[in-house]
Amino acid sequence: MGRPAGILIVEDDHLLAHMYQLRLQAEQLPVSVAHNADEFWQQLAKHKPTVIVLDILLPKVNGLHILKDLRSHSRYAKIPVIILTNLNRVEIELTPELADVLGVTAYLVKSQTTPETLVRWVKRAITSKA
Amino acid sequence: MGDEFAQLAVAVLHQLKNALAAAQGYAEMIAEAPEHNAQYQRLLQHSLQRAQSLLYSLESYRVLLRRSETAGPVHLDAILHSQLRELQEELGSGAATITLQRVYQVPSISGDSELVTEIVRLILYYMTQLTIVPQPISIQVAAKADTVCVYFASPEIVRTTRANLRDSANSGPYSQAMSNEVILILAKLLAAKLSGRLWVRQQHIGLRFKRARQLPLSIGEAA
Repeated sequence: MGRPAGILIVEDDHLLAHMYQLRLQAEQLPVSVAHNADEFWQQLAKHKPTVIVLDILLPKVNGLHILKDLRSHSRYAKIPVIILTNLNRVEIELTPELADVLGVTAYLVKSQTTPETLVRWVKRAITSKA
Repeated sequence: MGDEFAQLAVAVLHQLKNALAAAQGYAEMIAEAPEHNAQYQRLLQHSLQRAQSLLYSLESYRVLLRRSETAGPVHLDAILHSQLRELQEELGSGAATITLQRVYQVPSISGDSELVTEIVRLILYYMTQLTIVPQPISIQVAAKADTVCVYFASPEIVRTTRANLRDSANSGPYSQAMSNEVILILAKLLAAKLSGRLWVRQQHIGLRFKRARQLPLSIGEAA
């Protein structure tokens, strides 16, 4: 039996991060949380996650920059990334082509994404990777 | 003022979206997992309280734009007490317990009493958002030379924040308000209008006002 899938949530809003963490843990998924880019890289060095849930508006370094940096490392090039943000695609200039290049599995807007929806997307990402 | 308003509006919008997404999410989780109802209800309540505070911050800004400053003596001690009492009543006993510790006697300061009240209220709201578990929030007041400093600090919050920083996997929502800039932007705008200053460190929020000029003591004989 392989290692259980680990989810890394990158979200600066502690209340939201806590909520997603609780909901995913209820599905027996191990979850770790990073609130900024520094914490993200620290977490990544500790454990390579199966799926990353990434916010865009983060302090100092935004999520898109993190994603671009992530993809420049071959070790992390294939980790499915779900973007979960308040911004729409146009605001961050994420074209479908760029999303493909960056390996974005799903682009979700927080106000339209309940915890249950996120669980579905995360499970889909895990399955597609397996 | 335009840039400041834009800064405030963007911050409010972003934080409000997060607060409502959290409220919506916790509401869904309450329906799905009744065994965790108490925990999720508390978090839902906290999300809504946060949304309410954000709206309150916009209202305060509207008040600020409308009024012209009227300088006079401000009795900070009385303001602190009345605001603490109101906030504690509003929060109920389930939330933070707020206590005021006088390090020194609080003198009067110069300024606009209503604006100072607004600032104190905003900062108290900010402090209560630091915690979603019952814990004490202490406020210390110090006076020296021509300034009065009000320190809002909680050793427990600082400890929790540090613990969270040490171990991100253990992160909880306790230091949430540190990323919530809205109330601070507003409080800073109000403080600036009073020629006061507000600053934030990891351990405390400081608020500095000028002291009221002492009235000249007149000793003499009546004419």
